[in-house]
Amino acid sequence: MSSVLSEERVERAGVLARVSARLAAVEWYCAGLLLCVVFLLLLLNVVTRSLGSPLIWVDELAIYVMIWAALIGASIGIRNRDHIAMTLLTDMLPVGSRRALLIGVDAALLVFFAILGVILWNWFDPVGVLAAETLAEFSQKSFNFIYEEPTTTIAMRKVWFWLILPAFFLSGTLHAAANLATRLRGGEGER
Amino acid sequence: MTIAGSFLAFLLVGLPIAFVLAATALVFIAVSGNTVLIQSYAQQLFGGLENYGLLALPMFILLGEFMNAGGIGRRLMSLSLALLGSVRGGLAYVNLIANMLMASILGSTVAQITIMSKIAVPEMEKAGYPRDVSVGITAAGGLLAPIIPPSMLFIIFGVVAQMPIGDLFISGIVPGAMMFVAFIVVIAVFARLYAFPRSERLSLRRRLAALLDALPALAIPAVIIGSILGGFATPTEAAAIATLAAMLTGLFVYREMSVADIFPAFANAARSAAVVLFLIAAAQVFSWVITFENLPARVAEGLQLITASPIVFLLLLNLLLLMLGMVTDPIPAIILVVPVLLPVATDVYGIDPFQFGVIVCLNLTLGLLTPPVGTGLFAAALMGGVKAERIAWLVTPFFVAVAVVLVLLAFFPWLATGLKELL
Amino acid sequence: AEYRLGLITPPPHQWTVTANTIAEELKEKTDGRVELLIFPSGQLGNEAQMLQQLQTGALDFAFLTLGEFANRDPNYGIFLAPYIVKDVAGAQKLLKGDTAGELLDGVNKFGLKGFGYAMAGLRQIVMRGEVKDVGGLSGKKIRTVPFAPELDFWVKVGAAPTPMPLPALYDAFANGQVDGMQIDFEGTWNSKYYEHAGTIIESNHMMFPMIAVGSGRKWGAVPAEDQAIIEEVLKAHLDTLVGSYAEIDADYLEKLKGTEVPVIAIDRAFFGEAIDNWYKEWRTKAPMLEKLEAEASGL
Ligand code: NA
Ligand code: NA
Repeated sequence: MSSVLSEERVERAGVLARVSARLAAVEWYCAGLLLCVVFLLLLLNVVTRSLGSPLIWVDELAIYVMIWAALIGASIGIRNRDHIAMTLLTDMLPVGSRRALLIGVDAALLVFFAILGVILWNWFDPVGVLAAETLAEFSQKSFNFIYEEPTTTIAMRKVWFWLILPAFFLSGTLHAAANLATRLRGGEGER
Repeated sequence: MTIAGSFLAFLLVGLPIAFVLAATALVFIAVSGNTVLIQSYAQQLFGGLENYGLLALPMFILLGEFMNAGGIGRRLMSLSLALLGSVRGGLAYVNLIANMLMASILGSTVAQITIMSKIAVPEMEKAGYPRDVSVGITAAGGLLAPIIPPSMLFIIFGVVAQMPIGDLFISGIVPGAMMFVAFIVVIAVFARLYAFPRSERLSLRRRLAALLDALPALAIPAVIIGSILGGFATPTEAAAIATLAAMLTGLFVYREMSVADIFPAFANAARSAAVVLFLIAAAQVFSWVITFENLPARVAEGLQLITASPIVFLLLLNLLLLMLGMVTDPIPAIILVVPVLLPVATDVYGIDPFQFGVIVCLNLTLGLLTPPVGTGLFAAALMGGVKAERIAWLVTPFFVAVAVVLVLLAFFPWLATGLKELL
Repeated sequence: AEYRLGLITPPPHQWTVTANTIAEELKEKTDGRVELLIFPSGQLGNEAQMLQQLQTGALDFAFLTLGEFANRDPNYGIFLAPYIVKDVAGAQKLLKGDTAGELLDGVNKFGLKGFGYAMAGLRQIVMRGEVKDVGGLSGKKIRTVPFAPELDFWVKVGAAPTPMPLPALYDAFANGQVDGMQIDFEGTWNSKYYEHAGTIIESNHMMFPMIAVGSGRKWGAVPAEDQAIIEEVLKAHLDTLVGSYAEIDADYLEKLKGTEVPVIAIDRAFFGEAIDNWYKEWRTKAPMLEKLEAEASGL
């Protein structure tokens, strides 16, 4: 199962697909490591509570780490086409129109990521925040409190954890683009 | 109409379902004119996963990985075989009993189907069972996972409904046992229909050996229950403790895995969990948008106009859930339905919330095996190498069995609530 | 026009009941111009998410507990000062006082419009074992919400404050993952926590206020005529809601006294130095505390 890099796929693909494969391999390690952290945090909670000195930040941190693992895993899922889809109809189509449809689906995914990118750009508003004197002023004027939002029990701003979203956007876009490129080159006729 | 249309269009062309939900939410926002929701879209996608109860999900999947790698599932299968004598279709019953034992450890149908397909299907095929029927029985057995405690679905229901999860677990025991019995009846029919081979009777010595060998595996449910009741762990943490127990059993007792297998188990579990978690995140965004447009409350109002009888309400609820279960998986469906229909059920119809919870979870579990959207169905198809449509057809008799249990549950609330009150 | 009000309490809770009454009255008084849709049980998200939707203007109104505010400005934590009031009547006055008013106006800086305060029942303590004096709380794991002022209170008492999601609490208490909890009588009765309790401590040691807020962005777009009606109706019902807790607390206490669990009544002296230490620390952390204390002592 660990063969995230399928040799045959890589050979047929261009630069984009090779980068995508490399990235997926790195993501696989990151996701595994993060889940390991979740596991250890839960056990830590059991131990410290039994000793009568519970740590208040563990639950919240475990949740954020899980979300990081989930979004990184979801990005790998795009590359490997792990995400569950309904193929009842597409399976019945003749080869030619099916290929066209699959290319369309890959393109649609890319469109979704483009929209997500715009949404994230507006939310993080890097231009606006750099132009503002202070973060507080930025929040007041824009009604966008992204950089002021605190976490509940971890002494960190929430935005550090939200940064996984732009990362997901970047890696997801790369994988989706690579998938489309591979498909256009005639690779992956099966799926 | 635009919304339902785009949902169906996205779905039918084969866009991954998580993206169908996320994209339909965007269409909904555009059509409704509430474009300001766009500014909360990304935060809701992240926030959909900000829930303590959800931590149990990757832990259960991880537990499944270690139970599989550590040879625990296989021991439970051998034990079930040792328990049974010479019976027509013996291995089919063994499959079911092993599923029941697995269900007392695992909380997720998909995880259970994945493991049992690897263990039970090759065994049954070797003994002369048709492959597709073997896969079908395995898939149906997976339905026990979320009903016999511990249960992923009850955890999520408890989180959404703000109800004690331990009591929900207890409420699932009697209906789970009823399902088990109903499935035995179905298998008995299958045994004649498909001319299942007879199982051979094992010697007492081999039986004892199988029991002894399975003891460490059976200790895992004991670890889960013990750590919860002993006051050491929440159900979520118990899943982590059980994972640790399964890891140690696989490493040092059965010695079927090595230290080198540990990290891949984590990474692969993260990958599998991510697919489900991302689906939940997308479903949350979708459900947030439709809640915002007050759609579920309108459905509830419509229901109230139709009937004043709690039993009719529950039967209608079952139909609605069946339809919903066809197009979604149970977790997003729970999130969609419970906040709206639970208050209607308890306040308008005076229905016990535990009865409601068991019905909702049991019914929505079926959705895992119904096309077009059925994660369990696809997992079984993938693992077993059988077409999803064929499996869906083969599990239909099991569906009828569950439907009988559901109707009984609608008429007799004490089937769900009785045990909890006794304890 | 359609407006939306979000809150985290379930439909039977007094806050949600009040929200529904407000919706009905607004519809009537504005001849149907204001249609307020109520979203209970956190259907639109948790409090942090609702706050963000208020800020963007997606959501129009919400009932928010103080946690999200105290998390951003420690001054909002001062209402959790132990024994700042002795009963519901005191709370009702203090929540309409100058300090409360200043903090209410201060929600502007979060992009909100403040309408007024309400609260849930006064905080009590429910323990698994027998408790006779403050020593009985020492080292015990007490479930609290993760607000700094509340956590600090328990640290100073010598207990181990343990935040935990509410749905997990019943099991955790029954099995002993926590030894006790800070909660109101209503919750103790409705969620049946008393079933596993060894002592119910009638302490009335803390308020648990909530602020009714609107979206700053959206409020400006509401016609002036409707603005006046909305403000008036909200204020009236919030005040009634606070007052109603005198009776609610008394009723549930009566019910709990009917169980086999011993109920002991305690006051500020029970906690010894812990409370003085809390005030010492929070006067520095939250400068507005002293003002609130002065106001409270004049009640
Ligand atoms: Na289970
Ligand atoms: Na389905």
